[in-house]
Amino acid sequence: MENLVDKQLLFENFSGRSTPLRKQQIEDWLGDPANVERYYEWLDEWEKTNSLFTPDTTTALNNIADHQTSAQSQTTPKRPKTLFRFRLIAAVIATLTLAAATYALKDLLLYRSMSTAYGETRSVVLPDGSLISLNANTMVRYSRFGFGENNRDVYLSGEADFTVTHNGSRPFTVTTDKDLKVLVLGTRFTVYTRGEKATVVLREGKVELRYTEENKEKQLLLQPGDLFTAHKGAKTRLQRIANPENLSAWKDHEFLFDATSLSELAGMIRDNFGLSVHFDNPSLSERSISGSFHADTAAELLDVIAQLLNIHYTIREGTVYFSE
Amino acid sequence: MKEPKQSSGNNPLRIAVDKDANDQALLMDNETFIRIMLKDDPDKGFAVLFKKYYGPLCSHATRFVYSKEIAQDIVSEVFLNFWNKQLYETVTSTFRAYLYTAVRNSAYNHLKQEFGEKLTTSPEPVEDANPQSILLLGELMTKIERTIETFPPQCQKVFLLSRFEGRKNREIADELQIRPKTVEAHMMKALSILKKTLSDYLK
Repeated sequence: MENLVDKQLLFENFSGRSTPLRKQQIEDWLGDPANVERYYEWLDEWEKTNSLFTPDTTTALNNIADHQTSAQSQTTPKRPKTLFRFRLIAAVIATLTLAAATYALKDLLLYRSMSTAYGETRSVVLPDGSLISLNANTMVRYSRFGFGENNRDVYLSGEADFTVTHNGSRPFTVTTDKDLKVLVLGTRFTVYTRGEKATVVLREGKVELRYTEENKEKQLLLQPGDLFTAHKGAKTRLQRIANPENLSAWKDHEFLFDATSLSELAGMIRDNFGLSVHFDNPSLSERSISGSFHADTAAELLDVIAQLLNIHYTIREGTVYFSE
Repeated sequence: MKEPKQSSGNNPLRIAVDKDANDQALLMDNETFIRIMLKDDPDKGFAVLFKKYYGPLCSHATRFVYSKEIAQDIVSEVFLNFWNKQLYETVTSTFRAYLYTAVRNSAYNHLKQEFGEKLTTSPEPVEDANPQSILLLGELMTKIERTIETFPPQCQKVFLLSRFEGRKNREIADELQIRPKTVEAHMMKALSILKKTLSDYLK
């Protein structure tokens, strides 16, 4: 295999999920100074999407301005003017940013949020001790103040698995953008909400769902092993499934398929790796696979699929092309 | 038969390629733009550079020192040094690469002083790091996170409140409804585990 180091591989490395072989690959790749620049470019990008916290940049800039020696200090002592200008510029930048993202800023102040990039999964412990595992391309947010004391409300877009600590007086809720709300009574479950589809799978304990159907508010109590599906414009559906834990196997980078068609798989590849899927021959999309596989990257998963079905694939510009 | 690997750059798994390419072009322009600004109007150029990288750099430094406050001090100091020594005139790499390297080295030196076997005399100068040490720093970052994940739940909570958030022992004791002595004990435990597991990296 030739030395292919891409953004995804490095993102995995930053998240501490590289095999020794991959590390060696990256080390070789870094031998080229141009790649060192790329490394920091991607590190910066990764930090922006996986930020541990957001410091107050404006205050920091003002503080630092007090310690700065003026650029032209030797020639012209015009420090006060410089400093004034400095502050002014800082203010202008701050205002611009503010104007561009008032909504985001308000959210930033009131909520703490965490997100994962394509191909990344991540676990977070909330202040109340509950555990959330985020699947790839997922965002959750919760109150910066008072979470665990005044409320235990979490907002989700994407897919996440929850293990919630019991607290009789403070119910834990998960709100999605689909008029679907999960009220938790101490438990383990998975919520998926992307595009037009939302699902909830309960593994243990008890949860109550609140959702709107045909303009009516509805409530439903789930039992362990229940899979609830809501599709925009269709009736909601409740199924019993044998192994609810299979639906959160992605936590360990396991992919489980049970007569899963390639067209269903296409949706999953899009959600988790940000790649769209094209079939050269429509009949390909109906072929299906079963089994469980471990894959850390899209390439690993696609290799397995291609081998199993004895088909070929290429990736060009963010699209996977399957062919006979 | 799998993939015309050379076809579109070296990155077959590129996510959302078009958008990405644009971002990258923008980034390149930004670097050049900031470089020009620092020549024409250093104050302004510096402010733009600071605004652009301060946040992500702080987040990155936190992964090593696990304290918002120390991280912010480290990053501010790197920027101040960059300004006071007018390094923007001499740095040959991108400013981004320089800033990240400097922050990582500085965070590493901080850890060495705090958890290392012996006190280091002077911080090592910022060099073009070799591939091995770049990766090693990445590994150290993961090691720290993994170590903290292994703390017992209550100990982890105390550690994060105290170290990461910079809260006082008394406040933590009140919030978790435990005795201040217990808070101290948790912290002692956390720090000694860290010291032990990080010793290999900090020699």
